[in-house]
Amino acid sequence: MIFGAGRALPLAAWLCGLWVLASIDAPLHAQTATPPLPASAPTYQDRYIAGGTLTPDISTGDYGTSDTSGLARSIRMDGVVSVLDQEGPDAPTRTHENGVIADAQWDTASYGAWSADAAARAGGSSRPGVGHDYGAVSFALHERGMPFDGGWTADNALGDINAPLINLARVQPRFLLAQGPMEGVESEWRGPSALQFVAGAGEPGIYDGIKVPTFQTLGGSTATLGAQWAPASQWALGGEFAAASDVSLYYQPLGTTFATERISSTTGFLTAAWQDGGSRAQINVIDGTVDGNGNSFGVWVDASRANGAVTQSFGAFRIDPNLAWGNQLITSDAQGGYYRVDYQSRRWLADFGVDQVSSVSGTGSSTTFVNGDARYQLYRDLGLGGVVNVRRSASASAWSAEGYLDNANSYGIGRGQLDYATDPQTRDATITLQQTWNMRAGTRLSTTTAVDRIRSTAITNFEQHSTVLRMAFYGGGDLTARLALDGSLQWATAVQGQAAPSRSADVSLTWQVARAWSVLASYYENRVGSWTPLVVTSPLAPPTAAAIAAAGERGVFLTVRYQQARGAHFVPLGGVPGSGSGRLSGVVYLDANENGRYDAGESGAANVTVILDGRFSVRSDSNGRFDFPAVAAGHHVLTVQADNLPLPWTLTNSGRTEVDVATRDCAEVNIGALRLK
Amino acid sequence: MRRIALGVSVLLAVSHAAMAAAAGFAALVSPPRFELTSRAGTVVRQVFELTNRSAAPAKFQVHTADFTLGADYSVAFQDELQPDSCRPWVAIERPEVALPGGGTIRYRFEVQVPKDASAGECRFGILIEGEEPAVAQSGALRIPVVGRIGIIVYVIVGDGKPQIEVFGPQVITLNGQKVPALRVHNAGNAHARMSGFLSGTDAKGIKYDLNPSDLPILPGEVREVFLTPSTDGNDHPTLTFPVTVHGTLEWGHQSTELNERFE
Repeated sequence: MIFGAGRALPLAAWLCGLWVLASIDAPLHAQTATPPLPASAPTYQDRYIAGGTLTPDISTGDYGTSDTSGLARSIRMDGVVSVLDQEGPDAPTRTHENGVIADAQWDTASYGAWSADAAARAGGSSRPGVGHDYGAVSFALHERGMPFDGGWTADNALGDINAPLINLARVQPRFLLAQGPMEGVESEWRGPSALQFVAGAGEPGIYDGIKVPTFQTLGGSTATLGAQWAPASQWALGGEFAAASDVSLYYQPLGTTFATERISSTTGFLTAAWQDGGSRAQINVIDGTVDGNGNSFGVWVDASRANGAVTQSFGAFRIDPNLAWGNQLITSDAQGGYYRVDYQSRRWLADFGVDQVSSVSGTGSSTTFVNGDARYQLYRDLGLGGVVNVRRSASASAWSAEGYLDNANSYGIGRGQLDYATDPQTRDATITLQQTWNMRAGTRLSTTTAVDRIRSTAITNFEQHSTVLRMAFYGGGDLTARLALDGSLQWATAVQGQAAPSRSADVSLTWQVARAWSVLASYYENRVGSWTPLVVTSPLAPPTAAAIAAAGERGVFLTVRYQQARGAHFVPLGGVPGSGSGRLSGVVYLDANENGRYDAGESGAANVTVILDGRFSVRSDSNGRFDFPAVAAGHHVLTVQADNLPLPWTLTNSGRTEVDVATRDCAEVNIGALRLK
Repeated sequence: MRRIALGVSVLLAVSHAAMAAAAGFAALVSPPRFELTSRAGTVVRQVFELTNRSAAPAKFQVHTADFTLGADYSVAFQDELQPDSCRPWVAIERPEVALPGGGTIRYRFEVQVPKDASAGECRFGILIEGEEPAVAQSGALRIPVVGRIGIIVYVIVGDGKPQIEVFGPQVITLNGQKVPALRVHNAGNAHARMSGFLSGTDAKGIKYDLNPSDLPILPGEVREVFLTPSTDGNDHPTLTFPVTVHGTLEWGHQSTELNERFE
């Protein structure tokens, strides 16, 4: 028996090595009712593992739904218990974090998509002689994409949320205005011509907790108000205002770091963007004051141009000291410029960049950062590349270089890499071997082995030499269809010298107990050694928090999860998901007095077919009433098939009636049939 | 038996999974292809995942088949055991799979390579068929449709490998465009896929990258490998012949330098 002899599969299917065949009976019998299919018993008898007696390894489905009835809705509830041990001078010895997390989402036909997120945490910590119990909660209610007439949609939220920003403030390549967390309300409206209005107000705070996210307010208040508009297809203009009163300053890149004093701020932001094909430019101006100590002003310009395989981006900036956005500290006291060029082809991947930064106040030194990165694919299974970073300033200069070789071998994909980095205190040289191993379906494993040679005076004033051996594993897989294990392990120790060892582990086991129920168990351990690799970065890159040597923590978490999703996303007749809809109903009636109105005493035309936009049809009931409960907002045409009209009644022009349906409104249309004369 | 293959190809390069969807048959298989290595006297064990993407429970029939490639790379499956077929080495988990709506089975199969197996390549397909035929309605026609998904398995045994002979240049028409092509003979005992980084210059002096087609070339076959041009910002340029091409043509762990003129 030959399959596939008649029609060829497209070549493209072979390119990916996959194909799907649907075989049909010969069309000779196609005119008849469903003919019986011939039995498709293979003529070769396959052998079966263990005689075909293996227990099938079946999972019963994921978070996706098999019940598509009704509107889309889902719920997830987690019950979490944990034990966390910490080491360090000020750390509690043991912390418990127990709690419940509940998330629910549901679509509505006319009021957008809604979600509610809540968490409650209880637990405590203990230190010798000190005990502390605590509880905390968080809650947020979001509504997204509520449709209105005229092309408007709205998002609204209340609870523990992030302050809103206009879109032009979110697409910044270099300087970001933070969407500070707050407990309050926000509203965002989007309309035609890319119109957007945002507003929000509340009490600033931070999210807390490891597995159970709760919210902690910090006092004071913030508010923001903004708008943007596209007056032409290539242009967009926007502005936003933010104010804060009696708040703690929060510096996001360093984590939960707060200034001790409380401040008040007002800041305004104006922006204009132009885009034409692969070219884009945006100018931004910011002006504000903190605690009324005079105005600070900032301006920055970003531009980019993509031309085939080459993309260039460049910009310049000057931002005064002492600027804040609400209670969020933003990049300030900086001036300079940058240039980047990227090139990408089948064999080459290269980029080069220069940053020049100095302080406006003159308190910091001028810094130049140069970066070059190139990779060349020598053969299909062999590529090589290198990276050079140079950072030069009056106070401290540093540079690093890296070279690597990527090779697709019979065991998987491997990389050999050499690194060298130096600054006035440190010289690091590293040899690294990485391998991502070919594994059977559903499993994965990659390994890293590295030897670091460290010379450092960072900890003591005497130069210390250490040689550190590092090994890391990442892997996981489906042990069965219902049981999955994933984890990573890292371990480093000094084979020579005094460098303190470090280790970390993060292992999780997921067990699908039943279709909606699963259990997640995870263990993590992290102990920071006395040495971390020297990384030479741009002065414009966000600072990273310094790890504390010898501090460590480990924890065990157990989560019992219930999750269920049902339904399908709502699509009104003649519309797309998320578009506004209204109701369209009426009566097909027999217009006995021919006045064009449905009068008392006139009969409805039962069981006639009413067609919306030539596509969707309903039949009238015994009173002649028809109903389209959800029709996309806008202009529609109704027609009627007159076949079932009682004689001698008929409809002129198939009863064609044009009607406008408004969002969440009900349009009533009566269609009168006339007596044949 | 009278059946006509109706090609419904699905390109899922990102997910590397094959999916078929028709009324009554909606299944996802991952991965769509295995390329394995083995030694004589060893057993290769593997697993593919079959997911029922419909809301209702479904049954699937699973069996092996031999396959051949047509001149245009169309695939033809044969249920009858073909000469030199290695399917007697193959054992699959079970002939029938029943899955709940949205359910997934990790389906096991193994290839037991005999101790006296010579170097070469074992090739076979695993076919997954929806048990119940669905009915496609087209006007007055009611056409029973049986969905099928094919998985291709290549197992290189021992030192099996392709041995490629590249013949002279030619120009063929592909999708209405004239492109350079190479005639290639696989004199080895395992399939090959061509690749490499080739550069070309056409009669107008425009430089191109040329990408060899990576369709499988089975042992003993002679195939045309077409070289698809591209430039920065244009994936479908039109070449002006003659075109000179140079670079490295690669297959498996082997390669050859190419310096040819196509006209």
